[in-house]
Order: sequence, then C-alpha cells, then structure tokens
Amino acid sequence: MTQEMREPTFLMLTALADGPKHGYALIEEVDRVSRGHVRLKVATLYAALDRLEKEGTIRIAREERVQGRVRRYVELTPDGVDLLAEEVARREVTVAEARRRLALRPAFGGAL
Amino acid sequence: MTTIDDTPWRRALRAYPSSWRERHGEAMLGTLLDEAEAQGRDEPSRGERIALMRSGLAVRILGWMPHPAREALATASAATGFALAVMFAVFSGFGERVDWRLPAEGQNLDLQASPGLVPAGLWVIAFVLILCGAARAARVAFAATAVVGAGVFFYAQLDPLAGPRAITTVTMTVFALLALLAPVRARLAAAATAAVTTGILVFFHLFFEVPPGSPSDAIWLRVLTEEFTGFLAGAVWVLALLAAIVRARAVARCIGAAATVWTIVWLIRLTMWDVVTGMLGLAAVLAVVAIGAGIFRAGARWGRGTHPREGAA
Repeated sequence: MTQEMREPTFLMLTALADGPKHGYALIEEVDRVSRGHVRLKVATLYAALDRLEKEGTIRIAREERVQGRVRRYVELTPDGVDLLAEEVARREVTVAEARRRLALRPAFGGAL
Repeated sequence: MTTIDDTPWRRALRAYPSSWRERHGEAMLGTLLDEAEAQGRDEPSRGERIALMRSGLAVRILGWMPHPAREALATASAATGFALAVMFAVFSGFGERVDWRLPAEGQNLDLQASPGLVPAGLWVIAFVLILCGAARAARVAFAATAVVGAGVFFYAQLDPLAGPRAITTVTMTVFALLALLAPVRARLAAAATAAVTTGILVFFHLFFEVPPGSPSDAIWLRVLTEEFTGFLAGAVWVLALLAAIVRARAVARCIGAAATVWTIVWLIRLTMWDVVTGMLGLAAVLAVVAIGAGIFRAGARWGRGTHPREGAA
C-alpha cells in the first residue's frame, strides 16, 4: 500500500524538479506553480523540509550567506526524483481517465 | 536588500527547541526576513507569530515521534474513541442515576441523560467529518471534545450522580488529544478500525455478565476494565507482530497503532485503580519498548553488515 502524496508536498517537489532552491524562492515557486492557490507559511515549509530530508527525498545542496542572511539551498535526491516521477505518472493516469469520462458525456447538459 | 532588525523573529523562533534551532534556525530566519522584506514588513505578522508558536510547540511535544507513527496513532485514537463514544451513547447515555450510598426509597429512578453524551456527540461529529474528508474541521471538533470531556470530568467529580465515571471521560479526553497528533486522512483505515473495534466491544458488551448489585455504568463495567483492556491490548499486539512478520507494513502499522491505543487505555485503567500498579505497568511497557527497539536496531545494523560479528568475519 503506497501512501498518497499530499498537494503541498507534490508542489514542493515540483518546484525543486529543475534545480536547487532556497527557502523563500521555494515559497514563491510553489505559489507560482499552484497559480496562487497554495502559499506556504515559513513554519510549514521548514516542517515539511525537515520531514522530506529525514525520508531521503531532498538534501541540502549548499548554504550561502547573503548580507548576513543564511540561504540554504535544497535539492531532490535521486530517490526524490523517482518519487516525483512516480507521482506524476500516477496523476497522469487519473487525469487521462477523467478526460476520457468527460468526453463520454452528452454534448448538451447531460445531467440526466 | 535592506537591513531589518531580526530580534523579533529570533524571539519568535524561541518556540522551537534548541536542537531544531541549531539545525534550521538560521536558514528559517533568513527565509522569514526575505519574506518580510518582500512584503515591506519590519516585524513578524500576527499570523506568522502564531504559526511559529504552534509549529515550535508541536516540534517540542511531538518532534521525537516520526510523522507516519503520529498519523497512525491519531487514526487509531480517532477510530477507537469513536467506538467507545458510540458504546457510551447507546449503552450508558441514558439511565437511572442511583445513589448507592442512600436507601432505595425516595430516589429519582427516571431515565436521565448523562452529560457524557455531549463529548460523545462531538466525537461522532468529528469522526463523520473525517469520513467526509474534512480533516481540519475534524481537528476543531476533537479539540472541542477534549475541552468538553475535561469539563464533564470535573463536573462529574462535583456531582457523581450527574456524569459518567472518570474512566470514561478521561479516556475520551486522552483519545481526543491523541487524535490531534496529526490530521486524520486515512479514511479507509479509520473506518475499518472503528468498525472492527465497535464489533469487538458490542460482542463483549452483550455477552459479558454484569455482577449482580453493581452500580450501572455499562461501558465501565464491561469494556473499560483492567482485564478486558489488557487482554485486548495483548491480542492486538500479537496481530500487529504477525502482520510485521509477513511484511504487511501498512497493516502492521495500523494494527500496531490500535494496540498502542489499547495499551494506553490499559495503563489509564491501572493508574486509576491504583497509582503504584499503574506506574509498574508503565515501567513494564517502557521496558518492552526498549527491548523491542534494541532488537530492531541490532537487526538494522545486521542488515547493513555493520554488526560486530559481521565485521570480525
């Protein structure tokens, strides 16, 4: 039995798919990817990053200090890439099925 | 990038334990300051302070417990508590509140509703919300159940005839707090656990004879006894172990969480009967957990080939 991936986790992994990002960039990217539907709180973000790091899905890529502020960049691990690819494939199957069923509906209304 | 005084954020981050701050504190502070700067703030917003406080407290209280274990325990608690709440409402919600210290004459023998019906009703609402997929709303209902359960407990201490027995209210309150450990999203596991638990409790309730002359509080007399809770906890642990042996991990986790919940009820029951016995029971459980963890870690080391014997070979 595989555990279902929740939307914020999926969005975070998607945001990291094209390369490492630091905390605020990740918040912005998740906001952009979800078209403004999901805006992560900093506390939620770091709780999720801590969990994903422990699960081996992400890792710290590097840390920089910019004008006194620490910027920690995180990236997907190979396991994280596989996990995201599996989730994408699973969602694609569901979406394809939804499209197929919608196409079966009568052209006008179809409530009956 | 402008310079913002980071003192208020550092103060807010004190909600987290020092080990967490050492690991994530500076990175989190950097992100908080980046966001504040982008939004033109020079101090944490109210929502940000509350989120940091809540998250910090959660890490302090629950940081030691892995997230899947927390979810499984919350699910098992929600389901078991639902079964107990339904049992209470059906078999003990209405009854004669007889004062056994007084003679039979002149007592009010009319059926009266127990105040315990209020937390039981809230519990049913919370569980229905879980089944509908409204995990967040269910958490609000569980928080209300915990508060009301504690209130009914104190009310029943003032007037023992009015409320349910302490074991019922304490169990409901503890389960409601355990159900708050994590949002319950595993609807199938919750429904299956609730159905099986309710079936076991109803079976036991209907086929167990009440000693004559006992005060009437059905759920306490038949189900929430040391013997029954201890037996059930042991039996469920055996099932969890069997599931683990056949490597059905998800099932083993679900059954193991239910076994943990019944062990907690057993410990509560023992402690309420006699504090020393309860502490001995707790020590025994901790010893078993420590031995189990030791065996598990040794097995894991063996699996990685770093066991001393493996190295010597």
